[in-house]
Order: sequence, then C-alpha cells, then structure tokens
Amino acid sequence: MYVGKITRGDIDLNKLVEDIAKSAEEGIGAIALFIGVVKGVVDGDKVFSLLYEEYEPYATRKLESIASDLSSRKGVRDVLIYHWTGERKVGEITVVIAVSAVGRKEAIETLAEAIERVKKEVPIFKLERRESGDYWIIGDGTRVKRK
Amino acid sequence: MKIRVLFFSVLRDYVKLREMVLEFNDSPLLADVISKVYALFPELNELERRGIKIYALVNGEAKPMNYIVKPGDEVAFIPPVSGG
Repeated sequence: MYVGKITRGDIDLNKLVEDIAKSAEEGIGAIALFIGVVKGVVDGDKVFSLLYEEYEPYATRKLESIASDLSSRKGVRDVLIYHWTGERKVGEITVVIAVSAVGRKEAIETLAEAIERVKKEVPIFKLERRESGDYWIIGDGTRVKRK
Repeated sequence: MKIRVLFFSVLRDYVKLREMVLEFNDSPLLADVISKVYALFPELNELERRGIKIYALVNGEAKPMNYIVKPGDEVAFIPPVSGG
C-alpha cells in the first residue's frame, strides 16, 4: 500500500500504526515513523507558525510517486506520506511518514530517504512567521526576510 | 497564443503577482517565456544575485530550454522547494 496526500485535517496516529501493523501476519516486522513539527525557536528568534502552500496537482502527484516508488523496494511493504498545508502553529504536525518493512534496516533507511525526497522534490513552499518578521524558507534552510 | 504564468513563494514578493497571462504570436520556446518574464520583472535578477535559484516548470515538470510551449501549458516560476 502507498499513500501520498496533502492534508489540512487531523490524523489518528494510533489507527494509522494499527492499520499498518495488520500486515505483520504477512512477514512485516518493523514500522518506522517520522513526525515533523513546527519548531518554536529559530536563530534565537521566537517562531509563531509556518504557512505552507503547495503547487497542485503536482505536489500530490509527487508525494504519490515518492510513496509508490519507495513501496516497491525489496523488503518494504507500505509507505504512507501525509503533508500538511495552510498555517501550522508551533508544536503542530507538518508531516507524517510511515514505512513498514520486513526489518528495521529496510524500514529506517526507506524512511530516511522518504523524508529527504519530500523536502527536495515536492513543490511545497513555506513562510516562517517570527517575532522579528516573516521569512521565506528557501530549500532546506536559507531564509529570506519578506519584503 | 496565451500562456498562464505562476509565481510561488519569495518570487511573489518581487513580482507582486501570483499569476499572469502572457501573449505570444507563435508557440514560444520555454527560453522565450523565461526571457519575457525576466524582461517584465528584472527584480528576479536581484533575487538570483542574492543566491536564490529560480526554476521554470512546465506543467509541474522541468523541461529543456528548447521545449516548445503548447497552448494550455502552464509555466510556474519557483525557488528551491521547502517541504517538510
């Protein structure tokens, strides 16, 4: 199974893990889970929120393609990727990636690759709202203060 | 022929638009669309001088500069993506 979705709603993580764990009967022995959250301090500056915007339909297509691609790896069964959009406040979830595999090595390595690919390939953009102003986040960390 | 052009993220601060329609006599190359956008918004050069790369996607995908833009194609100008 693979899922790649942009979402605004809540996700029941317990249910998500329970659903994936059902495939343990088929030889799945590991589930690796990544949860990204909005951090409250950057460069000593208080952060209020991140404002996400995606370029559709291409963002969803790319998430699906990454999930599909990685789920076809040897030893991997399920890859689920949920990425939030809109405004996310400090401590709120921004991305959830779950990978099930025959063992921990396959699960953790595939999870790590999924995170990198989501950050580098999906047309999603974010604005960081901080005490000192708003900053566009470009790529994996460059910040440009909003004009 | 009309081409829909979109701008994302920090680029919008510079061009002060989310999207626009450009008119061409014939089917332009992607390079022609990029040249026209930069001629209209030289501010984009300032952004590049600051080290921000700008990509022009056609229908969400990278294409070569000699790609012939077709009616209905959408050209999006974006900085490096920042998901996660």
